[in-house]
Amino acid sequence: MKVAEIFKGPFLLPSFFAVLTILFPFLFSNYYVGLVIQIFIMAIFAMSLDILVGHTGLPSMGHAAYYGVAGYATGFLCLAGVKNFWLVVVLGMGLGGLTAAFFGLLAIRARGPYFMLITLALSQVLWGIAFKWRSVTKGDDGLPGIGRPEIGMGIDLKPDLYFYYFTFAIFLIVLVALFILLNSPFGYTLRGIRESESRMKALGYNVWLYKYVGFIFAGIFAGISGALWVYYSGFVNPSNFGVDLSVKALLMLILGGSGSLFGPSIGAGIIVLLENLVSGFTERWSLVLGIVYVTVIMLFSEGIFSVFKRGRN
Amino acid sequence: MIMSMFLFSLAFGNRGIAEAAEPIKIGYLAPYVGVFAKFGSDLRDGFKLYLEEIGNKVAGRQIIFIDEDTEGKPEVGLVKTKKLVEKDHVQILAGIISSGVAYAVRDYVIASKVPLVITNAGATKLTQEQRSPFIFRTSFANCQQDLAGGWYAYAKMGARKVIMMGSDYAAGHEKAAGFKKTFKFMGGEVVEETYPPLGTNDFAPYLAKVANYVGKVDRTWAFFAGSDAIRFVNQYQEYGLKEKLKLFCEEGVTDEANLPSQKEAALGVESYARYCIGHDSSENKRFVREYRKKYNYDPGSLSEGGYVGAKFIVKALEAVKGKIENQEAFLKALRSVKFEAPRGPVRFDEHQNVIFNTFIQRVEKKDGKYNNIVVDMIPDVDQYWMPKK
Amino acid sequence: MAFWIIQILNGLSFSMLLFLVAAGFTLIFGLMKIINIAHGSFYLLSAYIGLTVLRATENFLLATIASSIAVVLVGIAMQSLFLRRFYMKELQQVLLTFGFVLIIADLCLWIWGGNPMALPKPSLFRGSIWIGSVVFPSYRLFVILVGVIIAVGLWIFQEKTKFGAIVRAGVDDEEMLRGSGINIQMVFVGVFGLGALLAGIGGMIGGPFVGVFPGVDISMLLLALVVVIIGGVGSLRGAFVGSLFVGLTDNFGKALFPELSLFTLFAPMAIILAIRPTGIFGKIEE
Repeated sequence: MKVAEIFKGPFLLPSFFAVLTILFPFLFSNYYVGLVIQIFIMAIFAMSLDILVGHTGLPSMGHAAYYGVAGYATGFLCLAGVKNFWLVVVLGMGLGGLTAAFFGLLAIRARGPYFMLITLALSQVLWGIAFKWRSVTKGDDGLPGIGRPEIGMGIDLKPDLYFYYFTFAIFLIVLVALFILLNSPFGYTLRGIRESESRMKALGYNVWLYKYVGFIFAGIFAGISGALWVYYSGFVNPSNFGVDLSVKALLMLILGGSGSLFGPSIGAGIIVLLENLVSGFTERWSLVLGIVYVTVIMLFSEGIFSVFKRGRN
Repeated sequence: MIMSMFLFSLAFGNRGIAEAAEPIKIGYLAPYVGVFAKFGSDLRDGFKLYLEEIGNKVAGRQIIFIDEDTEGKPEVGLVKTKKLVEKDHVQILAGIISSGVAYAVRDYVIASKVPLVITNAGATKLTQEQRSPFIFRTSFANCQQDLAGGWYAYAKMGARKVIMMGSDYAAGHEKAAGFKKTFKFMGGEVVEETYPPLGTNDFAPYLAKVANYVGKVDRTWAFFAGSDAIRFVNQYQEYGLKEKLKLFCEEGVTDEANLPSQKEAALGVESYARYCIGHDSSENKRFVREYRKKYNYDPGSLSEGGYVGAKFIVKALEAVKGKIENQEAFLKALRSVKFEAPRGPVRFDEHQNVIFNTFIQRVEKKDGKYNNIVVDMIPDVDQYWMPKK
Repeated sequence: MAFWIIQILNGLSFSMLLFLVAAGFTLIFGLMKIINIAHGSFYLLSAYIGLTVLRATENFLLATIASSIAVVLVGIAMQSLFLRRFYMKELQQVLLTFGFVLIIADLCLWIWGGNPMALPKPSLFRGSIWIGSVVFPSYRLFVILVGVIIAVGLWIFQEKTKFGAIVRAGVDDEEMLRGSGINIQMVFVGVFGLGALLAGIGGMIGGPFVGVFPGVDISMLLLALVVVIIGGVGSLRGAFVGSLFVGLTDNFGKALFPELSLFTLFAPMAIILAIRPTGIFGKIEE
């Protein structure tokens, strides 16, 4: 494909955004750079959830569990002196996956709303542990003072500017990795399960096993975002396990369009911007957000992205 | 629509400070929702009262007050602090009620070199092990009045044995530690300590245990704040403990903010406090009168805390003739501020924490209203105060 | 001995409050498969409205009636205008209820402010009574009484009325209900309204000792979740047994092992999730 062709057709919009992203910090102040960092991290979180929601048809309401586990792991390791990013993030991913492996055993035997209830309850158990085990987690006060990690190559991540590009790079890596995963035979099988479990079973697939592996992948990728968030904010506390976080991720999928490559990221962008900007305009920002969410779900329950897609056809 | 909102705030949020005649921006952080919501608004009301008394101007420069809601959550507090510093370009930060929020923003504030004047959060380490030239505190340290209280319980109230109940978070533990330190130093014994979680709906299970100690200890020490304090005091009376085992509390328990909901349950309860609405000085009487006139409710210790915080900042600004841009001079001036506050004379100690007189107060009823009156006073209490044995 | 009596009565009074909130939550989930995140919001709204009416009239019964009506109307509106459109789409329904949580919570904050408040008790039950050598607030006995009366009322409703039978059938097998020709949407509205009513009564009953403040909506929701997981979804009996279990365990846990207090709440839930996810009385989903 020639270079010029990359900027045509389906690559036009993404390329435009990629260029905009690279130039962004030179156009806008540090505050907005910070917002975009948050968008990248939330986008990774939302994409990991979409493996379950958009591709397997498992509406997990406790996704913050893996995010929080990786977050606390990052916090503990950092405060213990471990500065190497790669080591910490691999551990975070591993723990996220391990938690998912454990929770998956308990949750996947349930369907639909029961699945939602169980995943919600499981993440709340973790929340309760983080909240109450003060001697280890300092409870609601949380663990402050977590510094930026070292990634070697002499790059210092303390300035938000560098952390911005770093997060962008991780975001791209995750995007590509998920693209490969979800367009592989494994991904097709997951979507087959979402369409009709009975048919897949009849075709001889071990449906439970596919769901379970998908669940673990979701936990692993969620772990990446959990670790990144703690490095960005410098702080971890039980809200990293919060039900509002899990529900917000679902909202991101509904808003942006689940089951698509960029939908979760768009949804993440919308929600992060909405939350931060609306609060600058009115004290009643929570009310405004609630109204917006209800309105969007009532009108665009298939996701804004798919509305655009339909529009283009 | 979202894109246009985004672009709109980019355009208007990106202005920097031009010259010295420009206004001075104070970024203010407090919770307006949650367990401490009422304290948040009390604190702000007090702060703004002082700003209005000076016409929102100092040395010819206008003061712009930018208010952000921390929700009492450390992670939200950090986000809002970043917004105030990076988007609104404030020159001073003030406020903060929750110690958890204070600890979470400390590193960022120091790295950004923006002075923070804490007008409530008592997180002890911030003016001790984790102190910094950029961090000031005009309210109290979690242990300060408690040190005085512990001594008072032994020396003046004759208590020899106590049980302690406090909220299970940083402030609760730090305050208990302060009280324990002096009480034990004097020779007293703490028979049991219990720390119910923040937001405990029902103290009943803990109170049933307290009933076992009636006749065996002299006082119950308590620290709870906000809605917890209301419930605790009410339930303490419901279970018949109020008459049998007297409470001696930290001021947050029977603060003016809580009394309308506690009523008879709080009558006669004694506490130690940095501020007492009944303090009989002309400055306090004036302050209470102005506050009641403007806001139509009684000022509590949070209200006075906000007021004093604003006054410290403004006095320092006056000393440097409004040139806050000369940060070193401003900080030096701030360190040397002293004046007569509604609570009495105040000034900073060497670690930039405030020194004040501690009141012993009691809830009384007059003309159908419940308020605290002064019973006694311990002068010049700082965060390291110890009694002479 | 006195210690145990107080603790049991305490636990029971807390259990009855939990039952009021959990019963509605479990019915709504059992029949409509909706995880009503806004369930705690009914408690919140009812307590605030009740507080205002109470301050104006000093009549607890009147306040309860007023707040119940208000909350039922809100619940019916929520179900018939919004949730109904996503019949069988549980994810969207849950997210809608989340939106309502934000709306209701912020409206309440706007109108009543962020100051935590306690409802005054009905004048009949302001005092404390002596049980042997111990003092116990009479209001808590009232709570136990109300809880038991409502539990009995719900049992009669479920076992002896036609509507109750329909609900029972619907919880067990929704397809059958759909095929039976009964107007299923009316049933849904009725149950949602009932759930809101119960949570609303919970708000009034709990108001005097738990209080009302921003955040109580989420705490109540969390407690209802724990009760329903332990007792089983869709089962009133499960909600009752679950509430007793949680209320008593929480109470004794705090009294005997205060350092573990939240743990005594979540540990049983975690165990049930591991062994039998749909709870003690719930049905097993294949």
